[in-house]
Amino acid sequence: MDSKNILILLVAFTILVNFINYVDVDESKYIKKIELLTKRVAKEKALLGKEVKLLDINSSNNLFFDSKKDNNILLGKFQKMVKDIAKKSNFKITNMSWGTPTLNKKLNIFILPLKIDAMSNPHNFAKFTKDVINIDKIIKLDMLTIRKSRKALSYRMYLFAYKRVDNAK
Amino acid sequence: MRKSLKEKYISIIPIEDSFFYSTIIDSSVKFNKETLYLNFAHISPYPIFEIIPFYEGSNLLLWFIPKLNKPINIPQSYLLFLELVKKDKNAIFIIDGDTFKVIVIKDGILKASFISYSMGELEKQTLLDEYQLENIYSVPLSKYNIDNILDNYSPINYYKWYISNQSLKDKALEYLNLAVIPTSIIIFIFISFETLKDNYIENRYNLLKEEYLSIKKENDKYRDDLKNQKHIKEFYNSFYYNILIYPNSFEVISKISQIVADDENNTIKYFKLSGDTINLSIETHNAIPILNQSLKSGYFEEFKIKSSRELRRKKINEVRYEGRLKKFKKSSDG
Repeated sequence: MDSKNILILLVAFTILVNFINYVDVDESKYIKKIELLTKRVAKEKALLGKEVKLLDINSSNNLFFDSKKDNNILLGKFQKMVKDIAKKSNFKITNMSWGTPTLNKKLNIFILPLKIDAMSNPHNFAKFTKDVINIDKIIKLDMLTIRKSRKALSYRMYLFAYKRVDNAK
Repeated sequence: MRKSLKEKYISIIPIEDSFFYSTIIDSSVKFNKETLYLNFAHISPYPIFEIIPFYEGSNLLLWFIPKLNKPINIPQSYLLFLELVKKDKNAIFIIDGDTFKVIVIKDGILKASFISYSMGELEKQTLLDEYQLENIYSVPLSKYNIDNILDNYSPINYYKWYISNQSLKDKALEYLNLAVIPTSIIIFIFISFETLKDNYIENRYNLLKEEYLSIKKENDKYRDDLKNQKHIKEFYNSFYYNILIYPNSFEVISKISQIVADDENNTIKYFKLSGDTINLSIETHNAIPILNQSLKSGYFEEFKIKSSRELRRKKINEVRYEGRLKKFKKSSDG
C-alpha cells in the first residue's frame, strides 16, 4: 500500500470522525427522546383502566330550560309553571309579567325573569315557595318585598330561571 | 528508560572500526545518499561500506564503516573531539590505551582520527608537521568515558547521525502503511458497532413511540371525559359563585319566618330582600332573640337592629332589622 492510499485512508478517517460526531449528536437526541417517551409510557400505563365518574350531563342540563327553545316560549312555560304552583298552593297572584331576558356572556347563559305581585297569607306563601323549590329547574328568588296590609300580606318578587346558550347554534 | 532506548537505537562507532575523512565543501551543499556515494565511495578502504556524513559549516566529515547496526551511529572520535576541543582548538591529541588513538583538531574542527600502533617522538613530530600544528597532547583513555560524554551530548543532535536507507518521510510512511490494515479493521468494527447501536436506538425509539401512541389512544376516552368533567365543573362553579352567589332565598325566608314564629306575639310588618340585603320590620316584645337566632343561622355576614320604637297603643315595639347575606366562598379545590 503506497502513501496515496494512506492519504485516502487519512481523509476517510477524518470524514469518519466527523460522521461519528454527527451521529453522536443525533444519537444523544434519540436517547433523550427515549427517556422522555419511557416516562410518558409509564404515565400512560398508570392511567390505563382508570375511569372518570361522570356527572350526569343530561340530568344536569335539566336544571336549565331547554337551550334550543326561544326565550319567549320559555318565559311562557315558566309563567305557566308558576301559575300552576300558585293555584295549587292558594297563593293569590294579582299580577305576573315577563322581564327582559339578559345574556351573561361569561357563562353563556340567559337569565329569564318573571315579576310577580301577590296577596296571600304567610301559610300559602310558604306552600308556594316550597313548591317553587321543588321545581326540577334552578329558580332564584330575588327582590322580594312583603308588606302587611289590613287583611293580608302583599308580595312583590322576581323569580329567575336560566337557559344555557345552545352551542350548536 | 533513556538508557535502554540508547542501547536499542544508538551505536558508538569505535575509531578502530571506521575510516575518517574530512573535506571542505560549499556550505550550501547537502549530499543525498546517491551523490555522497558517487563523490566519495572511491575513498573507502572497505569493499562494502556505509558512509556517515556530518556537516559542520563548510566542512564535511565522513566516516566509512563496513556495516551499520543501528539507526543512529555516532562516531567515538566525534564524541572525543567534543571533549578535547574544550582544551585546545589547534592541537593533536594522542589517547593512550592498547593502541594510540590520534585526534587532530584544527581551527576547532575535527580534521583527522585514526589508530596508530606506535607513537614515538618522530611520529609525533611528523604529525605536527603534516597538520602544521604546534601542540600535541598525550591523554590517558581512562580520562574520557564515552558513555559520560554521550550523556552530556544533547539528544536533540541525534537526528544528525540518523542513517537509514530510507528517508525519515519514507520511514514514517512505512509505519503508516503498517497501520493501514489494523486501522481499517478498527474502523470497520467501529462503524459496524456505531451502525448497530444506531439501529438499535432507532428501533427502540420507534417501538416506544408506537407503544406510547397505542396506550395514549386507549386513554384518550379517559382524558376526554376528564376534560369534559372539568368543563362541567368549571361551569357549575362559576354559575354557583357568580349567579346564585348568596344562600337560597327561599331557605332564608323560611328560616326567618321560623325565628319570628317562635314567639306567637311576633308579627312581620315588612320584609324586603334585594340582592344581599334584607330589611325586616317586626312587631315584637323582645327584639334580641330574633337578632341572636338570625346571626346563629349562618346565612348572614351581618345582622343588626336598625331602629326600634314603641307602639304605645298596641303596647309592643316595632323593630327594624337589616341583614347582609354571606357570599359563597370558593373552596380550595375550586
